[in-house]
This record gives sequence, C-alpha cells and structure tokens, in this order.
Amino acid sequence: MPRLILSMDGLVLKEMPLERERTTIGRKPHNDIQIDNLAISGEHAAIVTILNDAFLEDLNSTNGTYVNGQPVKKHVLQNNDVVELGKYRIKFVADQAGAQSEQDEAVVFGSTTAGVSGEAPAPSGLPAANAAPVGSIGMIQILSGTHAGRTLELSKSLTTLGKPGTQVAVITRRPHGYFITHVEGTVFPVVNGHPLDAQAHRLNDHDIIEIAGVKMEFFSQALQA
Amino acid sequence: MASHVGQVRLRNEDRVACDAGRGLAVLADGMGGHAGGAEAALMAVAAWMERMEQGASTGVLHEEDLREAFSLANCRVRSAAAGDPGLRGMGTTLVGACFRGDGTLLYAHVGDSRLYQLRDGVLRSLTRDHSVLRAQWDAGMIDADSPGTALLRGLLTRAVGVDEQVEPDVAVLGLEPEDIYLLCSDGLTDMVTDSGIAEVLATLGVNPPLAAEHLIDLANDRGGMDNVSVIVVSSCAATRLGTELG
Repeated sequence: MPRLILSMDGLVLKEMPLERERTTIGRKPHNDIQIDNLAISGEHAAIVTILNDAFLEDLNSTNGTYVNGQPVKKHVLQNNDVVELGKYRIKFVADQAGAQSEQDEAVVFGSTTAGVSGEAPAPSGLPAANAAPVGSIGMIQILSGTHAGRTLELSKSLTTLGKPGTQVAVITRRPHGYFITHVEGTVFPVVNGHPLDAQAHRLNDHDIIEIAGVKMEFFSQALQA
Repeated sequence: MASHVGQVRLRNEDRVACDAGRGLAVLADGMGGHAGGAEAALMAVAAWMERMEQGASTGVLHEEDLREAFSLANCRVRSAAAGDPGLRGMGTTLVGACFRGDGTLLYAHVGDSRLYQLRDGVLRSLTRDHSVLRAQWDAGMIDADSPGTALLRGLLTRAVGVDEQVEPDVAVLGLEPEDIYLLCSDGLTDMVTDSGIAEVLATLGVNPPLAAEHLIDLANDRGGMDNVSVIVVSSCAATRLGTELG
C-alpha cells in the first residue's frame, strides 16, 4: 500500500498509509489529513487512488499545491514525489509490496566470485592467459521489465542471468565467442523465438534472448585500444 | 541426513565411473605411454568399482572396503603388466569417493588426481598430490617462481600398479546439503586455476553436467594437451536435476 509522509522543515510529523479511495487534505477537521495552518485552505487538495495509481488534485486552494517544485492542478503521483502545501511537504512512497513483487520479477544478475581457501596452493605453472575473445566485448541490453534499458558488459568468463530456483541461464565467454546455456529451471531460454535445448548456443550480434520473461539483446562492442 | 550422488558428467569414459545409486565416483589417470596408461586406468576404475559395489551390497561401506578396492586395483594392474611386455611399467592415479547414506563422505586417492570440495563458496582441495613437485614444494625446496618445475610435472611419488602394495590416503568428512564435489585429473588443474574452478562450481554447480562440461571447455580453451577427466557431484541438486534432465 502506498504511504504518505508528512513533514515540515525536514521534520517528519506523520506517516500514514494511503488506504482510502479518496484522501482529503486541508485545514478543516473533517479532512483525512488535517493541517492546522493558515497557509492551508479549508479543503486544500485530495488524492484519489484507483487501482495502483494515485491522482493528486488541487481543490482550488488559495496558495496552491506544488509537486517537486511545480504548481499542479492534477497530477499522477510517482514514487518519491514530494507534494508541497505551504511549508508542509508530503512525500508519496509507492506501494512497497508492489515494489517488492516487481523486484522478484526482475532479472537477477550474478557473476559469482568464489573464494579459494587459504591453504597452501598446489604448485602449478598455470598459463596466465585470459581466455576471452580478442578485440571486442559482448554486451547485453535489457529490453523489457524493471531493468529495461540497462546494459551489462559480459567481461567475466561466466555471467548468469535469470531467477535462481526458477530459470537461470549462463553466458560463457570463450576465445571463439559467447555461448548461452541453460542452467536450471523447467523453462529453457529462448533465442530469436526458438527455445534452446541443453546444448550451448553460440550468440550472434543482435540475438534476442528471453529469460524468465525478460527480453534482452546481445551485441558486441569493439574494445578501446 | 540422507545424501545422494547428484548428476555426474563423465568424459573419457574409460577413466571415470559413477554409481549414483550407491553414491560412488571414481576417476583414474593412467601413465606409462602407449596403450599402458589407458589400460591401467581402465582396469583400476573397474576393479575399484567392482570391490566397492560388492561391499555396498552387503551393507555400509567402510574404510576397509575402500583400502581393499585400491589393493584390488593395484593387483589387477600389476598382474596385467606382468603378463604383457607391451604393458610393462604402466600405472595410474586413482581417486575414489563414496557418498554414504549417513551423510558422510569416505574418500581416498593415490597420485595427482584430486578431490575438491566447494562449500560456502570456498574451494578446498581435499587431497594432497603424491607428486615429486608437491613433495619438493612441501619441503620448501621450490616456490611458484622456481624454474624447471615443468620437468617435474607428472612425476608421481605414489601410483597404482607400481609397487606390490599401494597405500591410499583415506579420509572421512561430513557432507553438507549444499556441497559440491569435483574429482579431476591433472589435465584440468594444470590448465585452470583453483579460483577458476571455484567460479565454475559456484555458478554452475546446480547443474553438474554443465559444470563438468564447462570445466573441460575451459581446460581445452587454454590449450589443454592432456586428457581431461572430471566428475562433478552435487548432493543438493540430485532430485531436481533428476527430473529435469531425465
């Protein structure tokens, strides 16, 4: 449920859930949020909630209603919007439960860094070669979901994508290119509309990958010399 | 705690064997050139598995079963070598693990094939190589920068099939549900660092066949010359992967 946080001069006065369909703000006692201050009109503003949206409306107040510094008559409230009435501020915090479930739907990126125990290492003359394609680096751009627009550089040898326990795929970086493979879950990743099988699939530029309901595009980018 | 061997990935099938039902996994890396090494590895794995499965059919496997499995492997390799001049001098490493129903892991090794454990993101080698390199390292005679260590690679201080008696290092430890175990030959550890192995097991351990495949790919990508054998065992993923991968 969304919340309103009422403050003045940086001091939080009250925090309340936005539980009514219509919440009124004003100086008079019958308002849901009463602010007993002469700069506030008797019926100053109202917030109407419809499903997940909250609409702020100025009720022709004398001194006006501002959102993030701008005067408004009607305004769709966004998370963390600050409504100003006189010297009072009301911060709008969007539905936390909703935000949580949105989080759950988000694609989780995990490039695991696993430690090695501090015990005496076994001697070996390991080649220091970093097995990676030369000259370019693979990138992933998220096309849908909460992280749409975000890009991810595939600089590690293993990059996992998806939701652990539900669907996870891994993109491996190898000398001759990038490969995507299904790791866990009953649903397999889809590349350009075709579900993968258990085999590793080589990625080509502009392949569209779908994992755990999120679409993303693979492309490679030339490395700066 | 019930414990199971999870899905395992086998490569170079002649040198690895698994019995998921009994919780057994064994890996051998032969030596002696030509046909000998491969033959020794094959025989050692078969003998070890034969003895352990026989022991498992009569009850819980004990340390004694494991020692006898190594002895049987040693006998078989030696007698085959004695009967065929073409196989003379052959031997093999052998690392075997038994994931027991009481939640313990009984394991032993001879040579430089290793058993690793990944627990809480930390990779540990549970075995200490029986190699000249390791012996000199432990004695402080060499360090990571010492020249010429490559010449010592593959020189073992213990192997199956060399002496009349073989003495495996045997140990037991408690299993945790999230543990991942790796048996591997030096073809892997020569090419992939411990941190590289840890990363693969931590990231892909939920899918042991994939983890094993990727370890082999890594070794080959880095120019692995030797055969690479790995077995990845995950206790936690057993049931889930069982249905998923058939």
